[in-house]
Amino acid sequence: MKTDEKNSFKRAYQFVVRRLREIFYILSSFPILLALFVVVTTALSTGAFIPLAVIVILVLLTAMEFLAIFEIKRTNWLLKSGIEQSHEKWFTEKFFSWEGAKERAISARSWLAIAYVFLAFALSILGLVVALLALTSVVCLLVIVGVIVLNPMSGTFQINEGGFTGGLNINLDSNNFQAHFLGFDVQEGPIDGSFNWTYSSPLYLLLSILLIIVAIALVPVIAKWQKELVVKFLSARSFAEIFYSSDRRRKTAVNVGSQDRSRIERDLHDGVQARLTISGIEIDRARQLAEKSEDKELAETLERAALQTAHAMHEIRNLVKGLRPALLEKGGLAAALNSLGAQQEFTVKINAEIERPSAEIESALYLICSEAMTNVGRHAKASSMSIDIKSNGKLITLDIVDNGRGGAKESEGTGLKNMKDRTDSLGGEFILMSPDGGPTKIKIIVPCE
Amino acid sequence: MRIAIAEDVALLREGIVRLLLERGHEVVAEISDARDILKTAKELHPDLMIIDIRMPPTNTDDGLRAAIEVRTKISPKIPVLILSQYIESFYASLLLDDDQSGVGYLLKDRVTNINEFMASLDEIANGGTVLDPEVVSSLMHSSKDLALQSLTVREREILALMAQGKSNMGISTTIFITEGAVEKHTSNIMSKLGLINEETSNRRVLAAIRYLNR
Repeated sequence: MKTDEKNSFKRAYQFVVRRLREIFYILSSFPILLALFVVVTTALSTGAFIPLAVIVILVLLTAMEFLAIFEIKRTNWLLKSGIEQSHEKWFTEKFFSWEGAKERAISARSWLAIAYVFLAFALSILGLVVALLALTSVVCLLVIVGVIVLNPMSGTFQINEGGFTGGLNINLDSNNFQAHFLGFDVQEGPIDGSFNWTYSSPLYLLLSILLIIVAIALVPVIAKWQKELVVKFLSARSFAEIFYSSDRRRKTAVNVGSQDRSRIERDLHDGVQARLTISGIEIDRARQLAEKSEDKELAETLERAALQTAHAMHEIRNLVKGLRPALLEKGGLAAALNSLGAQQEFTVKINAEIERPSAEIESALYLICSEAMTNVGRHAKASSMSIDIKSNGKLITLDIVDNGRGGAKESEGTGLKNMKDRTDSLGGEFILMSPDGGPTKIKIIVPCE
Repeated sequence: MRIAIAEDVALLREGIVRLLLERGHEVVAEISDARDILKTAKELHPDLMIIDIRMPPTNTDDGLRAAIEVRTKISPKIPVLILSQYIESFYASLLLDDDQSGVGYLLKDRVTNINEFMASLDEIANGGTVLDPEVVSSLMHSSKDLALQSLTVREREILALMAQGKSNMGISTTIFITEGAVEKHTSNIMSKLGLINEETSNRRVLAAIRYLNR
């Protein structure tokens, strides 16, 4: 029994502390968000004065990172919550740079933080009303309980005579005790221990009690909403972060793909290719020995072995090249494609004077073009082909034209299908025009990002 | 001769070192990191350096860049043979932008023809130029020059052999025509391309390469 009492007392204590924390959180939100609201609206309304507005808004967007940190700390401190701060700096570029300005202007995190200010400010007005109501109610209850139970016979004092609605009126003198609390009239006549409970109006009483219950019940709800706003708009689990991390995940997936390719390439380079070269050397050595001992048959056999080894080296080289040529990394599309084109039996004209796209897109475009060259070599019977790559900053356009016999169909063979698949994976469009007799034209349009 | 070799794949490096020792050369340094190339060149000044393009630290073109540094920073010039798993005309033109005497660029595959490989080493050490047939063909393909188109198939073939560093005699044994015929072709080529037909075959090679690389 005793432990039960203790527990319920503890629970009640925790309940009160919890509500008080929440009330304080909500109450402190109002002035803070009011100030932020004023700052943000003022900053945004400077829009009339370009270029001042640009700088002001950029500063505002930059400052949002600190706002987020502050709000998360405040929430964690007052609500004893564990909201995660953003895991990375919001901005990587310098403030005074074009890239930096661009980064800030399009920062989803910053704009979400601004949205947070507006939403949280609106909520904090509601919160203020509720918290004040709840707070006065709680205080009043405490006072009245204290007055009635603990201190029925102190001297005369008054709190808020004729005070605010829903408030407390206590009149106390040596003979008489009177208290009005939210419609309760508690009266004690001459001090003989008997209380008279009356109330002014049943409706008023009912409303009053409801109001207290609602206010106290609303406190945790509003605190929770406020906290959710912080989580969803400012924290490491905010919409912005989720957006960025899915972007990151996608990039990682792509990187893993290209890392795999790089690893295979390295393994082949350091392992198989080196070993083949060594075998080649040994075969040549053996061939020389056979020649020296004038064993013609053996020499011829070894010559054939040497030829096979040479073919193997050649094939592996071509295979590895397709994976991710070092030149593409170093010199970009134009250099890599020119080098590839130079190895074809037909003339390849490359025109690819574009700004370097992301590694992912660059790799894909390279593979598309390399596939195109292979196709032309295999099927088109062309003497020349041209690849034009242009970009308008939003879209990259590839025009691949050969002077071969035409009649190419997407459904036939894997080459064109591969090209189309790769285009699809970039979210692009693949158009094939190949009348019988040629020429074959392929147009590929992919977004830059 | 005193040779330094820079190749990070140990297997291949040892194989080549063994070849060189067998043929009576001295291997003065074995380098597996491109950052050591310039230092080695300065300290030991070998008669020839064999350098792999793709080497640590970044495993891209570190060897080539080190080779270019060796060529531009150290005098007298050290002959350099670039070995690579791939031929990139881009790299070739970087290398050939510099003075082309005593420079070679061969696919690693060529090592497997021991005699020819050794002959290439001698050629480069003596200030000659040796280019892999694939380098030449990629240079010829990527050249946008119209005059090149006016060459006959035979002449293109001979130009390619010239650019590979072959002498008239070398060319004549490769494509089975007489030396006289080779000379006639070469002078045709030179006049079509507007080049002066140099006296020595080496200078003629250089002229051809310069032409292709411009």
